[in-house]
Amino acid sequence: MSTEKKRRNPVITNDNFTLLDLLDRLLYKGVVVRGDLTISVADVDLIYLQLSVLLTSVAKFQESCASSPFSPGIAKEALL
Amino acid sequence: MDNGYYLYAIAKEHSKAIDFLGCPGIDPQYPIMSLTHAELIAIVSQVPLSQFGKEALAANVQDFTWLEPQARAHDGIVRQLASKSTIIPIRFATVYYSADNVRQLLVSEKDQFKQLLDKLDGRWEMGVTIDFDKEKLRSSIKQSDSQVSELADKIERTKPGTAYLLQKKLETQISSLMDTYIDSKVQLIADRLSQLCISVSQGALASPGNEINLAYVTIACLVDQNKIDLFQDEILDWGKTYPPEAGMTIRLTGPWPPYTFSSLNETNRETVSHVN
Repeated sequence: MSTEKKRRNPVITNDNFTLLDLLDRLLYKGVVVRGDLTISVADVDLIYLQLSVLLTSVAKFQESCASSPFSPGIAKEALL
Repeated sequence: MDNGYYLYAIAKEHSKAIDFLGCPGIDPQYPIMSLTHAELIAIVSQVPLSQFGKEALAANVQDFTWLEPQARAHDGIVRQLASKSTIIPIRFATVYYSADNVRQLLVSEKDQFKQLLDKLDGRWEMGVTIDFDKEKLRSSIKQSDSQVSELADKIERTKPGTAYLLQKKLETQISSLMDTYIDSKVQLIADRLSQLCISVSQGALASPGNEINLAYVTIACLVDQNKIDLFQDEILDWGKTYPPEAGMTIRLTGPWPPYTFSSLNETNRETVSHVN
C-alpha cells in the first residue's frame, strides 16, 4: 500500500479534506444546472469572505497559542 | 410554507443510483426519490422552503453552523450515489419549485446530460492543491535574486526619505518575481498532471485570508477509477523531488464525485474568484 509512502513524504500530504476544499467544489460559480433557487454569486463571495475571516482567526489563534500545551490542530479541526 | 425539490444528481434511467431511494435526504425528514423523464433520472428530495427558499437560503449560507453540516450532508449523499453508478453531481443548494420543473430540465438538457454521463462514466475527480507560503517565498527571493539583494543593501545605506521609495520598489519587484515563480510552478504541475489523467481543470490563484501568507491553486483531475492508486503514487513520488524549503506544498484530496467536470458547457474555472 502507498500509505507508508504518504507518511514519509515531507512535501505532499493526503489529509482529509477541509471545509474550504469542500466548498471550493460545491459552490463553484460555473454554470452546471441552474435551479429555480440557487446561491447567488454575491452570496458565494460573502461565504468566502466569512471563511477567510474564520481562517484568519484560526491562524491567529494558532500563533498566539503556539507555545501553550493546547493543540492548535484540535482547534482548527473544531472550527473547520 | 411549501416544499421545494433539492437536486443532487442526474443519472441514466435504470442506473444503480436508485438503490438509495428512500434513504434520508439533506433534510432527513424527507426521503431521497427519483424523477424520471427522457431516459434520465433526477435524484431529489423535498426540502422546506422555510430553509431553502430565496431569502432563507441567502441568510442561512452566511451561518457556518448551518452551512457546514448541510454541505457535508450534500457531499455524503452525492458520494454514495457516485459509488454505485455514473452520475452528474449537482452543486450545493440547487432547488426547484416543483417536480415538473425538474422534469423539464431533464427534457431540455437531455442530449448534454447524456454526453456528460458518457464522459464521466467510471471516473472520479482528484484534487491537487498547491499551497504557497508567501513569507518563505519572499525570503528565498530576497536571498537568491541578485537584483533584489542589491536593492536591499542600497536601502540600508540611504537616507530615510529615499529609502521609503526604494522600499516600495523592492516590494513591487519581489511580488512580481513571486508571481512569476508561482505561475511557472503551477504551469509545470498542470502540464505534468494533464499527462496523468483524462482532463484537468485549473482554478484561479486564491487566498483564504487577507492576513495569512497563504495562496493556493487547485487543479482538478478527472481520473479513471482503476487508475486512482496509480495517480496518487505518481504524484507522491514526484512530490519528493521538491524540497520543503521551496515554500510550496502539494496536497492531494479525493476521490471526489466529479463536481468540477459537471459543467454543461466546457468553460474553464477561471470565474472562481475568491476574496484575495
